[in-house]
Amino acid sequence: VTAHPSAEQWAAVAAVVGERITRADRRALADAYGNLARGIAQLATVPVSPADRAEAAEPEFEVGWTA
Amino acid sequence: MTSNGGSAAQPWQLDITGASRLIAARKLGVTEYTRSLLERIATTDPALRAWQLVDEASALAAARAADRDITRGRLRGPLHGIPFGVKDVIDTAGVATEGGSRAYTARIPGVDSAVVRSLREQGAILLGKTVTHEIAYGQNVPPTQNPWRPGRYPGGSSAGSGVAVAVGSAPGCLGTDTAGSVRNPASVNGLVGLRPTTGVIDLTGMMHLTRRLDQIGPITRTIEDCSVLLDGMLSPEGRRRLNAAEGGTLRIGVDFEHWREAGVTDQVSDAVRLAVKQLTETGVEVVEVSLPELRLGLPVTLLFCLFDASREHRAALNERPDAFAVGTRVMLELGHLVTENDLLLARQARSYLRRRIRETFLAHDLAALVSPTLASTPPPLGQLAADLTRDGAEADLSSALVLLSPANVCGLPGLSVPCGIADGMPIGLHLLGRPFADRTLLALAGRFEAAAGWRGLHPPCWYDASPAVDGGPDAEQLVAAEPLVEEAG
Repeated sequence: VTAHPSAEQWAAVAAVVGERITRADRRALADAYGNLARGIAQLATVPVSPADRAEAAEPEFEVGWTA
Repeated sequence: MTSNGGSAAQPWQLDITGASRLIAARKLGVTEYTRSLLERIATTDPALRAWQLVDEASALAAARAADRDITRGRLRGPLHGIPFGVKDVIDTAGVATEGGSRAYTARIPGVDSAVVRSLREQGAILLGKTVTHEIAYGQNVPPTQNPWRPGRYPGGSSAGSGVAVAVGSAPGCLGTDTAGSVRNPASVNGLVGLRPTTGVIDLTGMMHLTRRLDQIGPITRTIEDCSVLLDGMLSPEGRRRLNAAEGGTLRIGVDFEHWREAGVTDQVSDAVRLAVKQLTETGVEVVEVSLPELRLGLPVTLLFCLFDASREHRAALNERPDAFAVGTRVMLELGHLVTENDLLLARQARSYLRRRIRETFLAHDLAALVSPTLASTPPPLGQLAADLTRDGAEADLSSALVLLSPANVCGLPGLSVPCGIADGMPIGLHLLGRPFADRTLLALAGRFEAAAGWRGLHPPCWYDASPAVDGGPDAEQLVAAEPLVEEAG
């Protein structure tokens, strides 16, 4: 999988760290993002249930489980 | 002073419960004990670098105060007069807490973190701060050395806490565990490490990576010590939740396919299979299970860490970007490439993973899921890549997270206990438990510890100064024990 951050994603980084991102770390970030994208693609295939989706939409993750 | 076994010994060699008994019986002065530990630090730390900062004057003042209290009959409990170390991401009043980072140089908290306050109120004595990977992210290489074999990975990110306990410069330390950082240094240093259930420790005053996964946990030399230190760390509500948890069954699950996917080496697999066999000989039943969903722990952990850490440390990144190690800085910046939609996928996967773990535990009536703590013995430091975004199949830090991260993702307790030696390095047995069943894990691990004979495992430098005091195997016994592990395969 070869993935590159979109223009919107680069803009999100630049909004936080400014122009420095284009000088120092852009290549390292692009490489790391390529690896990260594989993990994101894996998560996209998870067969989540409606209950999983509802739970994930809650603001807080409640620890524990009931039988 | 006499040792637990009756032979002459140094106070620094005592474990928490041994020292506690002697202090309560007034056979060991707290000041004498604290001085012995400070001398042990002076002896070992120039080479091993476990300590970021030692607050000798305050420790001795607290020790003298504890001695006065005890002389007046005011013994507060089993932690009264017990010195401890704290990872450098946990706030200590008036003592620098810099997260192992130049970006936080001279950061001195005004108040203690909740967990340090709790321990001090029970009479425990802060020795100082232990070395951490920068902001506990695992991207730089701290100076800490593994006492079992210098030049090998000393554990992380609570490396200093693990090494300090292993060499006897503290009987117990606090670490933090976002994806295994208490259990991992416990494993590679031959110690016990517990990641308690999420919510039972008050994390106020902790320098966070991600509040979704972070936990503070104890690192000790024995299960009994781990239990005592945990009790001292619990919030009132945490204690209530643990007390209300069911006792649990005597049945454990193993998923050998997950071990294979995680890249567990033959020698580690052999040692842990032998440990499982030893557990069955104590009456524990073993069930093979299939939980391929455990592989989701790593990508979920990475997305939560990246997204949240970039926001936790945003101000420092903006103000002092060059003060971070390059690897840490890139990870903090990378977090801003993670989208809200990516985060939602991770949250959904977390719910799915927890549901599948719950279903498996309930279907087989399990008390714990058992695995190696780490897939291999510690590699040489120079061979350890720090790229957390890989898939865990290589000898890098992500492979160390594959087996441990499901506990953090799902808020479950996880415990590592020594279970063997290979290549002269310790191996850990990991137990993942039901929520709030931390004491069940401790009981199971205690059963194993008593049966297997690995209690009191010490690195070679332990024996440089004087003999062991706690009945643990001596150096010759350790050498003799190695073939036992190798023959198991």
